[in-house]
Amino acid sequence: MRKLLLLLLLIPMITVGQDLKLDHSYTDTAPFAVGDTITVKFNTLSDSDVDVYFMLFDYQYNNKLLEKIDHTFKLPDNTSASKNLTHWDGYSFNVLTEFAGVAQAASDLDFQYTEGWLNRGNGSYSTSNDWSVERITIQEASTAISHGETLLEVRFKVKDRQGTGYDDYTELTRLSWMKSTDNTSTADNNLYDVGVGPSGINLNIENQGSVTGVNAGTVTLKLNSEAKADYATDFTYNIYAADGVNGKTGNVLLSGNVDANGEMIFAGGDLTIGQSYYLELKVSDNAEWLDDVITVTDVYIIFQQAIAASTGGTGPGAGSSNTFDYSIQYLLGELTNSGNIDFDDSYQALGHIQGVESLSEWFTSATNGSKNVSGRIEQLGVSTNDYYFGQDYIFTPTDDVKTFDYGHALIGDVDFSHSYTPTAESSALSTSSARMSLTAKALQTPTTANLDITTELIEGKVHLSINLEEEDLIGAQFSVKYDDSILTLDNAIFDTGNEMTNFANHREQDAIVSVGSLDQSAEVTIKTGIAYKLIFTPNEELNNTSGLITFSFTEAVKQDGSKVIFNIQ
Amino acid sequence: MKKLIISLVLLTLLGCVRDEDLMVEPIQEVPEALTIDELVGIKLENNIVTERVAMNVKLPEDGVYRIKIRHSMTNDLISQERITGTEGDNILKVYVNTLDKSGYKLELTSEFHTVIGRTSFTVN
Repeated sequence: MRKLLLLLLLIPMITVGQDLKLDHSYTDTAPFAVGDTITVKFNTLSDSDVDVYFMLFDYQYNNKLLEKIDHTFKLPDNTSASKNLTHWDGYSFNVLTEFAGVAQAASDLDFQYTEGWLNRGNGSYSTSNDWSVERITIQEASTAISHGETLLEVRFKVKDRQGTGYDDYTELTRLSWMKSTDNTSTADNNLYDVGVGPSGINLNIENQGSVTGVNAGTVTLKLNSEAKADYATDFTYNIYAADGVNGKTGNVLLSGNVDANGEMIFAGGDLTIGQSYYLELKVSDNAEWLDDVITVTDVYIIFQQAIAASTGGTGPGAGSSNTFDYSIQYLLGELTNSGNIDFDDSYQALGHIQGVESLSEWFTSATNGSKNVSGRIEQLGVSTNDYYFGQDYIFTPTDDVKTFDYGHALIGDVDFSHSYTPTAESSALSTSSARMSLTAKALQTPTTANLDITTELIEGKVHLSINLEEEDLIGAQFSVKYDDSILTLDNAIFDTGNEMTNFANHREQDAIVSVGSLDQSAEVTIKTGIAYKLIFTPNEELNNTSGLITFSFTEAVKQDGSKVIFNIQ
Repeated sequence: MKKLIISLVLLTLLGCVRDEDLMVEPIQEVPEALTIDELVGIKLENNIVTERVAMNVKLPEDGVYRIKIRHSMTNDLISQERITGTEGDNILKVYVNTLDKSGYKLELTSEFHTVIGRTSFTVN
């Protein structure tokens, strides 16, 4: 017990009374990048300038994070000293943390030498693939080894830690133990007390900034859009280096198509931890469905917004200043790029479904190509000084976050039928009135109604008949594709009611005909029965019509904005 | 004598009947590839189609029927024809220029959508 008390009393004295310290540090300028070379120097320090003639010490380095290049003994004041370095891969020193019931410090290097290694038996080192051990011996005969002079320099290359299981570069090396003696004897009962120098027992190369250039491993960017279900691979991406808060710089770093699951997955080597990137997300201008983005429902919603925004409107929006549910609809409904939603936008939308030529170039269509809006879903739809309508394009992979969700929308698609409905906090307008429910209704699960569309050979001509059973429709739109190698469109016949505005849009180059109706004031509904008939003349004698005309798109809308999806029987 | 007179009268009467009144209704010639052994059904000449293909629609009786083309995965109705057919074999065509390269079902139904026959084809 007395010995124990004495030992406890002596520990602080020993700690403060170290004869020398072993120090190791890097000599290069931080911060570092993967692939950089760092030089680690070893030296001793001694306040009392004790004479050391013999030293033996072990250190180890993490071979997953560092690749040794070479080593050089320096010893400028001791050129005649004998020196040696021995190397082992696959071992790690087990610091002795307790001895005879007393806690022991890893920094007590002479203690770790005697009891942690010398007298410890086979418990001192264990196998470890992550570490390599180097043992340095220096012996001087006539001149004490100078303190402060560089004993040894070891050069390493910084390795990429991706996939190693290490999250940082804060423990690259570790001093294990040290034996040092004067010139009287190298016996183990003649040891100097050795501590650790100011650079610490471990080498941390991230103490002046994170190591850059670390491979981010697998990074996943997820597309969020209603169009994803059917058209995911029509989306394309470009990735640039980010510039500033929300900008890009330089050439495209990565590009391609979104995969069938709506994801962009980047494997190891593509992206770097801690680096910010700019994602440009678009729909291919060659996508065949761009003319189907703006439909009667969009036209109706934009019309109602224009009515609401005007004075003296008579539609459901009259008396309110807003019919939109989300602020981003002000961007999506801006078909003329004039800065606000008015009747010009609604007439552009109506003109689009009617097949009018020479319309505005600012909205999504086959003629204009895709007009894209995108950004991180945490922000999309919430404008700030940095993010126009919340379009935050930037992502930064870290060790903890490697998956990022992006929302995408198309200009003109105010009912979000081919877009992402914002979910960010504050993306929905808070000044909603009863009129606002138009969009909400459009976003609800559509009503399903039966529809009979048939082709039939009548007196040598091919008749397509659309027979509506659903009542209360204020708008409807149908698109069909025909075999233009056999058929020529002759006529479109409407029987939708006397006050209904009808349209037939013949995209001759694509052999597609869209017919429909819309009462933008929502005061009259489409008459039921055979409301639409298309008549084609064949250029050869036919016995029947199977497959000559196919149905590609149908949609209808009610006064409250709710959609109707037709079940073609 | 009485029998002879009756026979002469009959021969005279028959001799006055126009040829066309005695013609038998022409039988629809059915290529072997379109032969349907059952009483009703629908059959294609080939099940891998590039432009158009002959089909036999064998009907139980004269009337109005529907021929429907559905997507083989979603079952969505893509094209539908209304025909007025005759009992037995009706040799018609399916045109596929407007169809994407994919697999499809071909259905024969009554006017009121009761399925009578079904087959499938692939547009190549």
